[in-house]
Amino acid sequence: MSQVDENGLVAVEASVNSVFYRQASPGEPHFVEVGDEVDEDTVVCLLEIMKCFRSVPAGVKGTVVEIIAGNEGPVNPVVA
Amino acid sequence: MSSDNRLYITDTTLRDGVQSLWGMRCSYHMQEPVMQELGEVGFDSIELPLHCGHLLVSARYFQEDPRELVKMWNDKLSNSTSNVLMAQLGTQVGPHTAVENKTVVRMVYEQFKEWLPKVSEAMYITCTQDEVERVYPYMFPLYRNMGVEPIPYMAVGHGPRHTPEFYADQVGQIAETYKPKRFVIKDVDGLMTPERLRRLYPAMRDAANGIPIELHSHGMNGLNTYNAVVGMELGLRRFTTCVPPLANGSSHVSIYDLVKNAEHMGIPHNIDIEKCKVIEERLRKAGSAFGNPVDNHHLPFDLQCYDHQIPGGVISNTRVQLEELGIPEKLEEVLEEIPRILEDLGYPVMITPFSQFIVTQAALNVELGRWEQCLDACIAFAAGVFGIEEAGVNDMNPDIKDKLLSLPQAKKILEKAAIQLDYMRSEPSEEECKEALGLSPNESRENFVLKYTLNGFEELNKCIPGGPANYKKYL
Repeated sequence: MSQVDENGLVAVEASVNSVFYRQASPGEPHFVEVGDEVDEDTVVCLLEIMKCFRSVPAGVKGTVVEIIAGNEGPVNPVVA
Repeated sequence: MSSDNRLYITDTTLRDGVQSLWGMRCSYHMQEPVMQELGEVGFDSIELPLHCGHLLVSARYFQEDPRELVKMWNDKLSNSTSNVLMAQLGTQVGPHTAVENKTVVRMVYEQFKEWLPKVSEAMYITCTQDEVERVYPYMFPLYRNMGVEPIPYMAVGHGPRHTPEFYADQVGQIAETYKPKRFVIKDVDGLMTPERLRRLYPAMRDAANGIPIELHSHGMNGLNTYNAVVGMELGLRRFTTCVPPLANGSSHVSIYDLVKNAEHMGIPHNIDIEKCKVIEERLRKAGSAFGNPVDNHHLPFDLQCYDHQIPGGVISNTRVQLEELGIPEKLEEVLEEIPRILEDLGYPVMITPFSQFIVTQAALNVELGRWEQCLDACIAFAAGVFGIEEAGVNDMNPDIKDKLLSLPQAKKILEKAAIQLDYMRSEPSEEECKEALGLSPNESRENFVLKYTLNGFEELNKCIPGGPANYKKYL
């Protein structure tokens, strides 16, 4: 899990190059919206890695404040 | 000599050949120059990649409307006497679900048949006893009702339970109940040896009650050409082959080698070798212009293959995918991690979909630490979604099984697994299926299938306008 930054935010990040999905499959509702309360086990997105999928839990208790990645778009690990 | 003694050939140049050696990177204008000639060689069946994976590659990678590709197949093969076979995964018709309900499955295959009226056979990959009991009873009639004959491809595994008696028992059951047109020994990972074939083929043949058997054997251990000779010595006459440069390597027996050996043994055939040479020349030209490998030779016998069991269709994909992941240098570590995962999961047959998610999990384990991040498919596997006994779930490492089933995301997967069988057998209305996908209940079946198989319309909307005239050419 990422560290809490100076703004008190925790980033949920991709660990490897992936494709980001906000819902389980086309037509289904988004896992979360901005403003939703989540806990550690809440699934917040789906990542596609090498044609396979991984449901991503929030890993932290809090409120969704921003969804930066674009739906069905690529996401990459942050290089330190 | 009776005509029954002749060779019967299923060509899989553009499906398994492309999947094994070109990572499914085969666009419209790589296929179009050879399609008519393929229909004139004399193959008994021609296998084409009419499945969601290739449709996705067409749209996502080449920005080509997959319907144009399928239309071209139909046009070019209109006068061919060959059967057209589509590679299928039964109830797994889309990229994002393990299995689907009867209505979605029917709609997808009916649409495929509408796009490709020539299709008359469907590869039915059979890995587990569960499939024969749970899925065959409705998939066989579904296919046959639309004029498509399902061909059971018996995937050969390497666990303690995968004996000749096991396969003979399955073949006997299927032969008695469904009387398929033929069976296929699917040597998915190219690990078949002549010794094993000499025990396996007679056991399956004797159980098949006169239904012919075909050998579909990848080249990972470098023995598939010789396996074909052993097969012919045993009376086997049906084989899957490819035309070079899409033969050999991790792909299939070259049609040239099979025909040459058959002629040497006095076995007749219908193959026009000169036409194959025309196909070869055009594939070499287009393939190398794109950057696909065209010098594919027999592989050495490598004991490591018996550890990772990567089937031919996955290994070239894996190289491409690790490059896209930014870790191409870790291929060897990924290969070494695979046997550990196979042991953890109880030795499932390394075939799609297992092979893909095992390889991906291996990449994650290598990059991030063993089982630090787990794929949904691994959780579903542990929950028995892909079958219990024959998938190997009973033989799983109990610690790994517990970890997977304890993950936060496991809850929904377990809920779905609990109702998996009911869901698979359910038959909602077409309107309900369309609405579930976010479409109007009056939406066309074609648009439903496009949205379903392409995981949305985004890629389709990005396809190059103007059709094939504007698609990239390689000749």
